[in-house]
Amino acid sequence: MGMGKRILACLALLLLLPLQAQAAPAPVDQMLGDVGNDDGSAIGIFWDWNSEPTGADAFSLEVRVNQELVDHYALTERQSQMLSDAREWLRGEIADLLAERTAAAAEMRTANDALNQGIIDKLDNATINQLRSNYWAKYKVHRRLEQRITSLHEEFASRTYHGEDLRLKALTWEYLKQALAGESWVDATGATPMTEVGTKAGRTDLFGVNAGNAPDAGRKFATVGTISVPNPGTPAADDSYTGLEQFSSIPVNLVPDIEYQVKMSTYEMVPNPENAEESLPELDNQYTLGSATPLSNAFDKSKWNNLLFALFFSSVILTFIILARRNPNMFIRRIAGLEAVDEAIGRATEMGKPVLYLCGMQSLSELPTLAAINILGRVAGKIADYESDLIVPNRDPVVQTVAQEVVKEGYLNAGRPDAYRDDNIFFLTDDQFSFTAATCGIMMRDKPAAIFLMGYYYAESLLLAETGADTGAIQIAGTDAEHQLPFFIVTCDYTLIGEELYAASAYLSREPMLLGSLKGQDVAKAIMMLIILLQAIFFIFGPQADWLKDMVTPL
Amino acid sequence: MIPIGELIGTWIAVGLTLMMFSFIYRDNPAFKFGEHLYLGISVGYYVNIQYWNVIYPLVIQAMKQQHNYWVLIPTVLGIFILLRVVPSLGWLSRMAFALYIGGFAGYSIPYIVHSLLLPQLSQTLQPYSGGFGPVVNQVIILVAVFSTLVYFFFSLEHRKTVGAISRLGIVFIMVSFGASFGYTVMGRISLLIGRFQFILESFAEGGRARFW
Amino acid sequence: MIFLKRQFPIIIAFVAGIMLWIRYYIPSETSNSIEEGYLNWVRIIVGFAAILGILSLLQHHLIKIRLKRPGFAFSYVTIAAFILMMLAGLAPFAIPGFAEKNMESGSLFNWLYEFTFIPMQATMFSVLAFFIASAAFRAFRARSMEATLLLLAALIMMVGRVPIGDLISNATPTFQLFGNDYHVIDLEEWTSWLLNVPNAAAKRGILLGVYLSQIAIAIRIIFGIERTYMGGGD
Repeated sequence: MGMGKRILACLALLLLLPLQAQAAPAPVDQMLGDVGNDDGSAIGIFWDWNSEPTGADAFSLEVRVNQELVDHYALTERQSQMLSDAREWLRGEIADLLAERTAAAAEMRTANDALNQGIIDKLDNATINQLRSNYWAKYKVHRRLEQRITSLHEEFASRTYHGEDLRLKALTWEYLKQALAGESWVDATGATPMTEVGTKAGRTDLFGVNAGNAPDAGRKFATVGTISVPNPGTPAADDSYTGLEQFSSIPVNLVPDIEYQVKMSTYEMVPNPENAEESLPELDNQYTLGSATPLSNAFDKSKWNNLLFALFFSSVILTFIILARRNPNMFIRRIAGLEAVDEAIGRATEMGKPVLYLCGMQSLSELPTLAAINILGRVAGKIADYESDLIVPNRDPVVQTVAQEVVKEGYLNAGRPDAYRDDNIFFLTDDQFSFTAATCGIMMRDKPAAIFLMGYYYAESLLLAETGADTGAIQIAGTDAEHQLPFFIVTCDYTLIGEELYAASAYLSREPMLLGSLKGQDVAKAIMMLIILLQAIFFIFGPQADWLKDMVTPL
Repeated sequence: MIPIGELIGTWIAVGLTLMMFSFIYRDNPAFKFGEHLYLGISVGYYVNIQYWNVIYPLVIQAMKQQHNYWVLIPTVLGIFILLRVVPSLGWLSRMAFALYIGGFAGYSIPYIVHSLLLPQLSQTLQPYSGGFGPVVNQVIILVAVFSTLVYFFFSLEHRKTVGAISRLGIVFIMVSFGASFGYTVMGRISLLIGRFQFILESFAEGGRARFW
Repeated sequence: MIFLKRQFPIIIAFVAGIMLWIRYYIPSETSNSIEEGYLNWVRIIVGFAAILGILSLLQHHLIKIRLKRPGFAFSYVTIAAFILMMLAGLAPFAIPGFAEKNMESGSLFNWLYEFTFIPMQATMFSVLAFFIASAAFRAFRARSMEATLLLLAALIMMVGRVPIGDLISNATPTFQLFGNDYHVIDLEEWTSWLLNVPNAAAKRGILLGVYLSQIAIAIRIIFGIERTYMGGGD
């Protein structure tokens, strides 16, 4: 597609925009809670989505910890990598949603105001109904957006916490209950810990802890939350706003042998001097409730199902690898994208143009990159056969080093070690978009006849694939990045979807052990299908099979 | 009064923004300049990050101040990687790769099970209840997950029943890709507006460069 | 020697892999410090590998300059920018005209970061919008059954997400089902169904297979079956 067309296409889409979002997206970075506040009071990577107190009193129960713990939670390289990966991903996903939600919230409020005004003005029923259904429509839109955001938030969380959690021997919640029971104004004597909430001496602005999310005794983390309750004295107070539903929680993972102090803070809402319509939280009082020190177990019992599944799947795969040694001729189905490899390389030779190969945007420790490296080894051999040039720009110096090694090996096996050129496999930069810009530059200037985009990609996938398509190259992509797959499908000639990326090296090499591993994966998939099917069958014919869901739910 | 450094910086930032934008039109000297500058700056940044966040605290300070000489092991392994420039000693780098890749392989398995595999599986096991609509949807999810998994069976020939099911799987996959494609297309456009706003605001008030 | 070159790395991979796997299930300080220590070691190793990467980049550009390949003049820009940025951060003193040294705020490094790195990064990111537009139009040339399905789903999503979609939906007649009113075309409802039912389910199918593949590749590495990453030779 020519550039003129690209701009026209963009303008055409821009025409739709006045009908869409008006506001610029909010800076997403601010929504990430920090690891440790300045005073070391909060810990964990958390999502601070809805927790700003608006219009009502805000209370928070904090687990105060000592500096040692904050240090413990300093981000490791891996965690910050995960965090930045997750942010890169989230940035693409959520920015527009936020703007939409802000707009939807405003519309919802307007509709609500109109409805209230209508009721006050005693308009006729038909009009009121009209206003009400209008309000509900807006409410629905807003709610959907909220749900989408929540699910992105959950996915974000699952990409960032990789569960460094540790189990408690001493149940901190039990302890917390007792500590709170000592305070006369807290009614926490119920059978389930922390589910009862009482208020102090009839004052509505002070109260206990944790209404929702009752942690059962088997849970592995203490939950810290912010709770908002109404205060008749503040401008935005509203009778229907019970506050307790506004509970949001932050899981705090406990570390053994470190003392935790449990502390409750209460805030008073004071009018904002700059804006009389608003009120701001001001720290009112803090109560130290005591301390507890968790001990660690030898085996984390909450991870038994993890161990079970990991061992089970591993042994299935290993078994089939061993079986494959005895029976090396295994069937493997056709993968169209890989059938095209020869065609693409052949074309490059005919045109006298190079082949460009990318190993993805992640480091070598990530498994999609390893899959891409494996394919590179096979492709390099073919390229050496066809006597084309191979260019491999890299984002990670370790990947670059290994890629050189693998390509050299491929050329050697093809009997053409003389054709191998070290400086064609080079490191560009670690920065995502600088790498993208430079790679696009290579595509536009060297005009490769075939482009391989293997491994894991983020938002830049589209820039790479579109630029490649513009140069007229045959493009073969392969990724398991589910959000980037649609772009590759649209812009590339062939795309290896998800697992096909991992199957490729077995497919290209027909090595018995790799084929066996593939067969083992098929069997493991069949077992998962069986679990899904069993659950459906239990639902229709028998008692509810909660145990089945419990078994596969990570704790 | 805006400090002079910031004023100059903002204008440079605006200029570079326009240079990078020219990429949309076609490859041109302005973009080439911007691209090469960006590359150099980002590699310089990378060197500093590696030095100040890794080598300085983890090697130099660890040995000087904490007298932690264990860090000599990874340092030697790191030097092994550098020895790849000497062909006869290139094999030493394998030790470093083995530790790095082998370790991460073991490190990943429980995490994949915990945060990726099991959550996907348990989310699929939703109850078949809640009225007509939700039950139908749950059945569709069952069929879709099933047929998609069948599409990814590599050791079975995709003919007859298996072929039909895997074709159903590809239907679901394509609908899914279409949905997420359409979803992202409309969203990304608003990011562009953010960048235009930056340029306009900078012209208007010499404002500070910011990410969005 | 052959043992050191061939078997020993495989043993290292096996021991490291098994140790880091098992430690996941053991909640103790030792287990945590193994993980932490390992991750720090890896950071150091990768930190050294960065030197190799930079040498490779410089080599690439110097060869370009020496052979006067097309556009070699721009290689000077890259090398100059790299040296400037590197020295700005590593120099043990504050660059004249700037208050701070190294990576502090107020240093030359930070100024370059803020006024060159960040805006260029943000621009490349926003350029995506233009490319997504042309990708959208590429999708309109659907030729196969699969591509048509993709296009249809994409169209519903695109129209359903803007207020025009609402206008279209509201203009269609309504019918009753189970006591509720429905529009014949309700794009908003369709988009959320598409996202939550077929989209979520197909992704799950894809990802389950992917995760199994990842476990498989990790297992193959630990047991020394997969060793492409170690390179060939003796």
